[in-house]
Amino acid sequence: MSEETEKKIIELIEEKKITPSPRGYFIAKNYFFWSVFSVSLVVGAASLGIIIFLLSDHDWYLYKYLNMSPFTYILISLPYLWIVSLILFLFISYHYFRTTKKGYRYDSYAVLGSMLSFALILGTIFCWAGMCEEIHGTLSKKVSLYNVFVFDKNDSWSNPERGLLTGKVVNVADNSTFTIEDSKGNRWDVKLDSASLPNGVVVSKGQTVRLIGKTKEGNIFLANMSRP
Amino acid sequence: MENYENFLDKTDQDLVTLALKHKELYAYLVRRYEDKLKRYVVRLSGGRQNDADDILQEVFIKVYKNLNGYDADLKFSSWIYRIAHNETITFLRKINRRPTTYNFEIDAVSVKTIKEDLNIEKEIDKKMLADSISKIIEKLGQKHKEVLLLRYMEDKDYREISDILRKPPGTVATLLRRAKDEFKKEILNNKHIIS
Repeated sequence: MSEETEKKIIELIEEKKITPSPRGYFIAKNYFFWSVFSVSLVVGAASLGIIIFLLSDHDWYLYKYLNMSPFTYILISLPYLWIVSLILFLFISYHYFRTTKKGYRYDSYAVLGSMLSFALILGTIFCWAGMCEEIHGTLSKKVSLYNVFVFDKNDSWSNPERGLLTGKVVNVADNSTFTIEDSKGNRWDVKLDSASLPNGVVVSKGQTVRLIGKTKEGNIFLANMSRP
Repeated sequence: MENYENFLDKTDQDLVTLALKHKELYAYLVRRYEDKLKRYVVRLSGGRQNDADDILQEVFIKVYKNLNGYDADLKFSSWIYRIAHNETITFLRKINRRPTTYNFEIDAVSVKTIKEDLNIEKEIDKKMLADSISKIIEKLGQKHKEVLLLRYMEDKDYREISDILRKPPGTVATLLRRAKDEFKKEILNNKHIIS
């Protein structure tokens, strides 16, 4: 035991006027870690929700019309931006959980498993509440770069030469004859086999329709199948 | 203020509370942990005696600055060992060196515990000296060395090691098992050194 050391430490504390950091600083630090953890987990959950929405809303059968193998179509259709976002925010969340006072005591797999389960439940609730569709739709319309990173199924439907057409109904003669405008502003006169329409469905102005069929000269589209 | 003897009987937690009110009472915490921490820092840094004093000074200053952040759910000894551990590792990284080979002293109780716990009675000569154990520990990887030092030299249990290294108890158990395996392997490979 050395009295010299304790004396030296106390002298140093006095000489350098060292004081203990205030308790509020540690409380704020702890709150900060928990806040970053929570926010990141919620953003991760939203990312997972959007992934679920995009995968469940995708028209996976379209590869047949696009002359692609199913594997290639899956590869181009995966929402990479949201997958990266999910991994990034779960990682941040995990990191900050570990930084909390007792976060290190829990097994890594248990923590990651719990976080993923929580994100799955919350993401599903977000989807169910329509938030995922809303976020995806808003970003698609307002952020042009977003569409570079996230495959839009409407791109697949904008292939009239391959028999796929989508657009907004601008004029209706009857349920089997109407005009639509595609995303490029081209107008198409559609002749639809009305038998392909589900019972009770009426084509109306302003509605977005997806059609499978073939083109004919003069911007005429002969559709034998329609999708909502 | 109470007299000197009264403070010696205080718990660590009491001394923390008192040191926050009267900085001179922090000296009792320094006194209580100086020897233990110095021994640990020297062992962990591979015998850097001179550096150990500087590291220790940093540790005590850092502990004082962070006294308000001490969580009473944790043993104070685990908390102060954690800070000492981190300061030593940071120091070694700063000078960009691995700990040098060093034969630290091991008391007879630790030698007995290691021999019994690792079930290595048969593998080694019964006259095996404590410095032979230290030679073997020094040959191990840093992570394995850390857990063996804490378990056998500092006599810490799994929960304390978990709190000091900030690792889950399960990971500590795995590390300790692997460290023991590596230790045994080294003993078999170095019988000529230790017999």
